[in-house]
This record gives sequence, C-alpha cells and structure tokens, in this order.
Amino acid sequence: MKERIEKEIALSREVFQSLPTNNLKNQTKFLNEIEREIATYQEKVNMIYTELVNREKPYLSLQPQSFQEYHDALMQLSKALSYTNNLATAYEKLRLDKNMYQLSRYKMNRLNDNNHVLKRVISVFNKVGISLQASDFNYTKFSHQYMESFFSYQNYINSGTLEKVFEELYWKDPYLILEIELNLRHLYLKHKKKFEQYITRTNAEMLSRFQHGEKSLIDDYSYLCHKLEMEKLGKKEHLLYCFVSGAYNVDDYTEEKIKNLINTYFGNSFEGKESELENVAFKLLHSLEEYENYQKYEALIAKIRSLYKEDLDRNVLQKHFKKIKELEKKLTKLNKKSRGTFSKTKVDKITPEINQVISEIEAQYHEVDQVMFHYTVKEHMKDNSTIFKSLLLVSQYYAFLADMCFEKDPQTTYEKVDEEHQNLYQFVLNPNNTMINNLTISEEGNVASMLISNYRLLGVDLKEDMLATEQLKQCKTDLKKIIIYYQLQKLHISIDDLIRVKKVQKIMEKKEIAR
Amino acid sequence: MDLETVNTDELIECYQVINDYLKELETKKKEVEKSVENEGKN
Repeated sequence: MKERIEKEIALSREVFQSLPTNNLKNQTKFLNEIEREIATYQEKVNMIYTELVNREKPYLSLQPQSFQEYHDALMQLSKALSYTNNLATAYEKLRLDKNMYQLSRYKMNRLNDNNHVLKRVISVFNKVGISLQASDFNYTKFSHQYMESFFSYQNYINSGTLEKVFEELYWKDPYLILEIELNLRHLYLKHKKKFEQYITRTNAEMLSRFQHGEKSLIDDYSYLCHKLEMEKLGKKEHLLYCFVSGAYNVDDYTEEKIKNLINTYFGNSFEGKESELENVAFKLLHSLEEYENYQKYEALIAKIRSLYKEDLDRNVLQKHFKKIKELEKKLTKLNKKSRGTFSKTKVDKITPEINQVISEIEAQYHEVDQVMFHYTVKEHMKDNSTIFKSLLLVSQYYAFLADMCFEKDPQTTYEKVDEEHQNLYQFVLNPNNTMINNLTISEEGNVASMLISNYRLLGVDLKEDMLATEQLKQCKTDLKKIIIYYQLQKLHISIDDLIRVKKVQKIMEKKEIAR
Repeated sequence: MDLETVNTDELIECYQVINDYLKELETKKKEVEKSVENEGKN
C-alpha cells in the first residue's frame, strides 16, 4: 500500500510541477486543483488515522490500576500494629503526643489550627469515656474563660467567634494556649489509667480477630506487601498501562539495552540461568532500596544509639512529675486568691506569681519531653536489639521524629512531618528488609561493605561507587528495567507492539497540537 | 482504501508519507496564494 501511495504522490507531484502559475488565471486554476488534492489526501489520512486509533484502542483505553484494596488493608494492618505493640503508651497510640506537640508550638500555628487541635484532643478524651468540660480547665481564670467559650462554640470553630474571644483575652493573658496545653497534660496524667484501660480493651478486641495475635498482624502485613508487589508486576493491564502512560519508556527495553545492563551488573555469572538472574536482580533491588533508606535514617539511628549508651537516672521522670504536682498545688492556691481580686480594670497583683509558676511547670514538662524518649529507649532497647526495633520505636514517637524534622528544616510543615512519619513506618514494616532486621543497635559496622561482600558471594560485582546517592538511584532504575523486561517476556508482551502503540500515540499527540 | 489487510507498521508509514505530502501541498498553496495577493496589490 505504501508503495502505491508513494507512486500516486510522485505522479501528482509531477502534474503540479507542470501546472503553469504565470498569471492570475492559471494561479486561480492551480489553487483550485491543489485544494482538491488536499481534500483527497486529507480524507485518506483521516481514514488511516481512524484505523490506527481503532487498532490501538485496547491499549489506549487502559485505565490506571489503583490496587486500593491492598493499600486499604495494609493501612488497617499498620494501624493495628501501631496500636498493639508494646513500645508505646496510650498517649502515643491515641495520637495525643502528636496533637499536644502541635499545640506546644502554638505560637507558630494559626489560632484556628490550634482550636482544631484542641477539638481533636477533647475528642480523644471523649473516646476513652472522659467528657471534658470548661470546669476541668482551671489553670488560670483566663484559660477557664476561653474554654467556656470553646465548649459553646466548638462546633463553629470557623465562625470567627472564638477568634474574638481569644483576642480579648490575649492581651490579659498572652500564655492562654500554653496554659490550656499544660492543663490538658495534667488531665491526661489524672486520667492515665482510663486511657490505658481503653487501649487494653481495644487491643484485646483487635487481636481477637487474628488467630495468632500480633505475630499474625506482622505476617499478614508481609504477605500483603509481597502480594501487592507481585500483583503490580504480574498484572498485564497494569504493566501495559505503565508503558502507555509513559511511566516506562519502551525504547529502554530493547534486547540490546537490557543485555548491556545485565552485563554491567552481573557479567557472565548467570549466563543461561535467566530465572536465577531475575531472582538475584529482585533481591539486589530490595537490598539497594533498604540501603537507601538506611542511609536516609542513619542520623536517626545514630541518635538512638547515643541515647542508648548515655546514662539516665531511672527516677528522673518521677522526680519531674513530683515537682509538677507540687507546682500545680501552688498554682491552685494562687488561683483561689486571684479569683477574689478579678477586675477588668485593675491588673491582678497575683498574676506575675501565677505566670512564674506556670513558666516553671512548662519548664518541667519540657524536661519531661526531652527525657521521655531517652527513658523509653533505655527501657526497651538492649545490646542485641535490632535497628528494626529502634526505628519501630521512633515511628511510635511522633515528637522525637517531628523534632528531628524541624531541626533539619525549621520551615517544614506538619504535612511533611506526617509524610516522613508515614515513610519511616512503611520502611520499618517492609518485609523485604534484611539488614535492619539483623544489625543490632550496638554494632557500628560499615553497612556498604557488608552489602558488597554479601553480593560478591552471589556472583554480583557490586562496587562501592554504585552505592553513592546518584548512582544508587541509577542502579535501582536499571535493575527495575531488567525485572520488567523478564516480566514482559513472561506475560508475552511484545516490545514491537509497545513500539507501535508509542508511534500511534505520537501521531495522536501531533494531531492534537495541530488542532 | 482497504485498510484492514495492511499491517500496522505499514499503515503508520503510509500515514507519515501522506502527512508529509499534505504539508508540501499546503506550503505550495501558500506560495501561490501569496503571489496572487502580491499581483493584486500591483
């Protein structure tokens, strides 16, 4: 057909070349002829275009696969795991740590955001059966006054009413939110048992759904992760969609290019042993992903290691809590005196003394926050505790991770901290990890050289420079290509077919631009 | 045109050939139109 069209066109070209255009009459005649010719070939090209698009429709109409059911199930399991582990207390498990951390940074937040945090904390108290009221907030008369308004308008946080109340009280008491935060901490300690009972109840209920308790949660999580990975790779529609959507470029998957990649990473070690090569490529990819994450969290691991080694007075927390109790008693007494002298025009004489006590309580809680994670590390970690355990511990303590994020980048946002938190937790639970599950916190070995030695035994010539950040990314990309290439073969997906789809897509794009 | 019997690779090539020819025709048409316009001005 192509030959016939080329001949026809050559002939038409000759005819047009012979047509005179020396005067207006001939030029008009020429234009009529050329328009007729354009219309004829436009019709032909349109027919071919329609045919091409129809032929590639099965590819072009592919939809992205979300694997949502897997992600939902994994999310549920990871939530259950964070609830049932014995590394955190009710305070962390119910996310009070996260909300209180955000409230403690009240100066950096908008008032509306602080109010939303406050609402969330109150709802956590409700969840465990403690219905907070304004009368529970008596750190100062101003914080009590604000909470009275808060409970009246908590369903209309965005209405602006609370802003007006806050503004009015702020000039009398600029530490209003701090006082509410400290009051909430006091209320948590007061009702701590109820929170713990709630967690025990919920855990028992949650674990009763699984025959083998927590172990079963971890096994189910690993099983689902593996299944999801295999499903993504083995689902023909998904793989095809990755090519059609441009996520994978078919030009990277020619036999020659893949052979070069295999040669770079594996030499001749696996000649004729394709299945073995594929397995090693998979294993290596997982190891590189783990190593990349290990590097990302190296500072965090080092920090836990140093906290673990550092001495800590075992009674330090009790001492702080005892001091807080004493200060709170003092505050109650001062408040009683102060209420009698409350006046709108006069400045309360006792106010400076109240502020002093509050500032001392704040300092005590600050110490508690500093020491709490250290205390937890000392309590849960041993010489033979793995890096997995230490990172799992961090993933349960929002404040520690958030502090590190803000230390690294003071401009970071809570959303980014959440993202980091999520990434860390996903990494810790990744069933493909091997290094962090075996290396202990007391070891300070060179992980890169361990990795290289391990793969040398498997016949893979991994070099140290391949593990540098940029090269590592490239290695991962290359290994993924090798794995996908084998998968294309297994699923009988022809590279030529994919090349054709790409060509038709280009034609469609150009036509779209020309419109 | 009986397109059904033609394989996709050849069809893509045909599309390119005709498309190139159409571009060529459009250029020629514009040239002549310009010349008509110029003559009209003169």
